[in-house]
Amino acid sequence: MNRRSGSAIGRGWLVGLLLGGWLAPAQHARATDEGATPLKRLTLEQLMQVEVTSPSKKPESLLETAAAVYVITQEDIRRSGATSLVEALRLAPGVHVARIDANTWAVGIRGFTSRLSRAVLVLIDGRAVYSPLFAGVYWEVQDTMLEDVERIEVIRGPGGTLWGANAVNGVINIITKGARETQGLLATTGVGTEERVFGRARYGGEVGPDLAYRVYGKGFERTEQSAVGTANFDGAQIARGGFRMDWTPLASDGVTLQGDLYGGGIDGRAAITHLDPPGVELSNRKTDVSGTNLLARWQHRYDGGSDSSVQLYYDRTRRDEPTFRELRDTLDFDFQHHVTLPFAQDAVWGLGYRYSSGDVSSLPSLAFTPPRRSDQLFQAFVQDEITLAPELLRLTIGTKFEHNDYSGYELQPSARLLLTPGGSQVFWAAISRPVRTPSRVEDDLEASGFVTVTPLPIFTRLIGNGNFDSERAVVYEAGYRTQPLDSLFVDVAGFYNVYRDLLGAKLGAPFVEAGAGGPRFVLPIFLSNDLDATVYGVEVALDTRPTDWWQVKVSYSYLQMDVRPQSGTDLLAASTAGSSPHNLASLESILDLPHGLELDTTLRYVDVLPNQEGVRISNYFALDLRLGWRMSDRIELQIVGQNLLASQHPEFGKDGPNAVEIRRGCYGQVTWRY
Amino acid sequence: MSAVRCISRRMLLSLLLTPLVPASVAAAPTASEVKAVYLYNFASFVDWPDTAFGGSETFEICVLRDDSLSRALEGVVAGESVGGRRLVARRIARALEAAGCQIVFIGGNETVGASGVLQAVAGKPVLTVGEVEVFAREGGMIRFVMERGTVRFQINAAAVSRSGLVMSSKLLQLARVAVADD
Repeated sequence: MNRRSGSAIGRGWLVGLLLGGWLAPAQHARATDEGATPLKRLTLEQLMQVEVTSPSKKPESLLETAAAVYVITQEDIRRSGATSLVEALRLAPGVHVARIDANTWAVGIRGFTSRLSRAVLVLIDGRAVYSPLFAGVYWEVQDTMLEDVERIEVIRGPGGTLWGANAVNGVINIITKGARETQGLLATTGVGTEERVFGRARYGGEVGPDLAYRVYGKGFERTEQSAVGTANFDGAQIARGGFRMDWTPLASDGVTLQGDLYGGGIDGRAAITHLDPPGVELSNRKTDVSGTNLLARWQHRYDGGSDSSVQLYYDRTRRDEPTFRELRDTLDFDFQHHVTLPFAQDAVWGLGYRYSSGDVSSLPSLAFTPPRRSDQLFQAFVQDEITLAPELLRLTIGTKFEHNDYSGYELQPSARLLLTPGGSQVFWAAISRPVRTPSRVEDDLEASGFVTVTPLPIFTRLIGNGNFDSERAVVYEAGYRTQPLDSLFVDVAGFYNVYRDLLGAKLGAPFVEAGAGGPRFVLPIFLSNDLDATVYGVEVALDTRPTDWWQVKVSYSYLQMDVRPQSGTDLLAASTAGSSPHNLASLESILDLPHGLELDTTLRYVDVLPNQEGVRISNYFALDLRLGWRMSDRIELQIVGQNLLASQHPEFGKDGPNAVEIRRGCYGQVTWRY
Repeated sequence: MSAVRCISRRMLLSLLLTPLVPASVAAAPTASEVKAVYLYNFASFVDWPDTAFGGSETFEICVLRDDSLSRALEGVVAGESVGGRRLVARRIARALEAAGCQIVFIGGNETVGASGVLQAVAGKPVLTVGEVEVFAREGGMIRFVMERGTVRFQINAAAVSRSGLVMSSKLLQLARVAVADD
């Protein structure tokens, strides 16, 4: 028996596994009608032999979390037709995803949308992908086998207490399935107008009863989006592969080893400033990107309900842009212990250490001083959940302590209150004090921009500030969730954030400096902690299943940002506030038709982006349609149309010769599973 | 540009180019799915007195704090009935709601929540199922335990008999350790 029973029930189970997420009940119901729930046919003795995948650590019901959390499931991703991780984030309410061109995205949670999402922490299976060079996430290289993603947890609001600095406005936690859940072969290939040709394949197997593994590989060729008034320039080809091994020698212990490797070229247009001879060169040049990472994690469950995990990872990224090249090595260690204490307490504490070393070589017009810099980060956190009144009121308090090489010691406390009065209703409120710590761009950068050659060569120069301090916030949040009917889930959250010492830029006194080709005139722009802001808003999400075969999700969010310089005028004030929409809304319909057909519709509304460095982006509606057909347990087809309402539209600001609009697109794909 | 047009010729090409792949084993179910089927089976291996239903036409399996088990269970019980009663999976948010259930599962390592539910249904014909170690000692009846990647269960026979439920001998035989009550 034992292992064999796992595969004997295999094929039908595939159906069940495909159907995770909110939609699962409806789908399972149908599977039952067709007699396809094979586990039910097993005797109890057989059931006892079925090997299962391990449940996630400290499972916490979505309903009972004292934070604005939204979970994008594998099923949500599949039904959305998204072709990249970042596009899948559009599914989360209150998250502003704007595609800048074919390969770059700006993401904002509760405002501050920017190319690199400065104040949002992104983790993939526990590995932070936040780049300390320009402060943020290069979304175009964050990818994995989409079918192997178990879920994406999107936390709107601060996560600094548990997750660390830079989680001021949100945490995006991408979690892939365990190797045991991804057994067998899966292959997908497709063609389209934007994703011109793509393919991905994964194979999962087992070595003995305790060890499961998978390997995957994928690649795509992406075509250009529509450049405004000039030839298109932003295609890309990226290939990627990876593996994951899960070893469970004992029921109490699990060891995971995983890694990825990627490389590719991203076309783009760069305005390259030359100091000598003075001038600007508009160049279509490829950015070469590559990276590799290796992560090991050991989780142990103690008798009595506590558990701990130790994680170590190494990450190397290489980025070769027309104006700079960086090679960065990161080594990170984390320990975490979750324990239940007397008097109804549930505590988590942990320690972490990160070493990150970046080596930059760049044009004289974009100088990082020193070119090579290594930084260390020490962190510790503790969080305790105390039950104040059983079944009614829980208080979670905690703080993170860290020491970094830029701003020294940082403390990030938070307190969260959860009220569960029953009747499927939950109220929560929280107050937190997160920080965003400085990075090399604010500390070490000098970037020149060419203005004119007469009478003297004139340059602007963005000058980093060795005294740049952390950006600070105090965040007040409250929320309400209810499930008044089995088929209706409502989630409302509101927030009021007070920021101090945000990144600003001030014009300094012009000066003349000697260059190799003669003197030049410099207009300095000093980066400083010059901005304060008040940001508030509300997010509403509705999830309803009127029938077994139809699910409708509605979300709406409102945002107001007031950004003020601490003194005088600031060059970044208007664009900091102007890059996020006041209103975001979406309507998703997920419809199961007879004969395995699926028809999914998403309508999105994005309000005006008033000002990003002078560019205003109009509001727009976008419509995506997906028609899927499950021909059998093994073969699935889909046709997806994206941005169907207009032939092209801009989503984020770029001015002049770099401006790109996002085109209507479509693709077809076929997926095999064995 | 129509969606239909754009998949035309290239699509066919990519269909042809993909190599044929061998059949192999499929994925294992999750622990939640197996637990859901256990809960479904318990409904047949335990006898409830008629008074347990209070005139209701349905047999309710309730789940506290475990969304993935709830989802799996909804699929498992859909269209099923036991003893002429329609099986219903219900998510509950707090202990007091457990009183109307025939089976209640208490998820996670929420020891506090477990004792609350156990108090709420003490002496009533409600089969209590949990996971935490202290669950059986506090008077819980069946506890799921993970054993080398499989889901097994333990039974606290004394707690079962106090509740007025009658458990089949087969279930008792299969239980890993029949836990003695304090």
